[in-house]
Amino acid sequence: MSTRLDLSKLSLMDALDLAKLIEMEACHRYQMFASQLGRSGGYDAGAFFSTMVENEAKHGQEIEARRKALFGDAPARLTLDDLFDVEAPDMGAPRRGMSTVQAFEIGLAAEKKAYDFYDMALPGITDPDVRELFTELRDEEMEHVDMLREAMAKLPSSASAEAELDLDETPAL
Amino acid sequence: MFGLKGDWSLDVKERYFTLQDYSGAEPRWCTGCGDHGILAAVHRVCRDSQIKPEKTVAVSGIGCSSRLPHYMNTYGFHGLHGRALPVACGVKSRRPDLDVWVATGDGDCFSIGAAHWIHAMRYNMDITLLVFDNGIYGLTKKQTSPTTPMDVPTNTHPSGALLPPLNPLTVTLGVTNISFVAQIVDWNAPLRHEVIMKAHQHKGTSFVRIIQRCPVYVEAIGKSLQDEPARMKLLTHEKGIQLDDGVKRLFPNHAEHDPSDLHAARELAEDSSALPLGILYHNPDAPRYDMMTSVGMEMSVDDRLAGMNEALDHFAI
Repeated sequence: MSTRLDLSKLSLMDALDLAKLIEMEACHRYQMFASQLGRSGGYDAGAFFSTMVENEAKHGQEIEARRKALFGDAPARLTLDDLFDVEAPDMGAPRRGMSTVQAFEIGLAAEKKAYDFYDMALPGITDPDVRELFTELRDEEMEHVDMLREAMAKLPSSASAEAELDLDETPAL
Repeated sequence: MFGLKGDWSLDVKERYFTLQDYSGAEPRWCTGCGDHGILAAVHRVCRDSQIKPEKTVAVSGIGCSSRLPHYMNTYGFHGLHGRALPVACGVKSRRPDLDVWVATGDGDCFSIGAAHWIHAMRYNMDITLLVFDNGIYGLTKKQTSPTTPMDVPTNTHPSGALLPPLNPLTVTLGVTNISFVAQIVDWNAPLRHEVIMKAHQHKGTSFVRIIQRCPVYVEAIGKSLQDEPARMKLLTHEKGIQLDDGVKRLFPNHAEHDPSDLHAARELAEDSSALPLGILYHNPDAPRYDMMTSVGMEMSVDDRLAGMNEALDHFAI
């Protein structure tokens, strides 16, 4: 996970924009995974990643609404270019034929990564409003971890099954 | 004159390139392929360096890795098997103003292209050479490559490769006039970015071997390294790459290594107990062949002809 920004100098508006972009980056990554895996029926790995697209988009929209209420249409100074893999999972994480449980594990690791990002950033932040926001976002990421764990616990035993790969199938190229 | 006022000037705004400016077609690599991350790193290094897309060329040979030029919104040349480096050297020789990247793989570079690899390293032209080493021929579906480990079954060697794999680092470090040798893994984004950035900043041929995951045919190679980070050794030094503590924590083994020490680099490359990650060797002063081939390029055709005629006159009878 990385950003090239000096987090200690973020204003509240920048911090809200950054938080929204973090969700947006994760949303795009899950979209890529869902598109790569497609759907094979039932609540499979592809379906899980599609759910995560919706979750990340929803969280991003909530942050965006807060930002708009406080700062209106003031132009954002940050773009998606300013961060890389903060909450978005590793591009090489998914596997063809992976089980739903394995897909959940990718989601869990990503939420934990986002928690670590906010947690590690906090000691360097001096602006009290940004500090409060990052604390709140950090705690939300932990709530997401718990929510995913709960959902995982309810998965049927078949969710651990991996699909057989046909290596003679024409590869993506 | 043509209706322009005397004080007219061409006001060219300074351009800022975003990641989108370097992104070409949608990547068609397999799900989970390490190439996706490498491509993202190349786009980022281009963006961070603000190199002009119209002054950039991505050259490749044949193989999964060699799809890269299609995914760059720059000039590109998807060449013949093993022949990425001769094309890249040709481009650099005639157009030294261009930023030249080479994407090649373990089959393309270390097998059919091995002769070109050796000589391109010695020529030391200003080229960023990325070798996507997944230890298998993936595009043609799982044949043994020069770097396939002995215990990995393939379609050409179902009981595993018969010979120990080639060590690309020891080979490269043994070539005369090398100037930059590094090794990374595709799954660590900050390390990947820092090393590729340093490789690109280096003036000379920057050889970066990237241990790359192929989840379809040889998942175990990448996975075993990911699961056992103690099998890798992170090279740190003030003249090497700078990584934050969060990244260093991921690697239990560290070694302080001065990249200007060729002898120590060779020892690290030969050490089979741990895979060195980072910059093994860096010599910014090695002579560059492209500096020699570019001499006189600014001459007009008439001046060149006059010079050739003058030279040939020495042999006139």
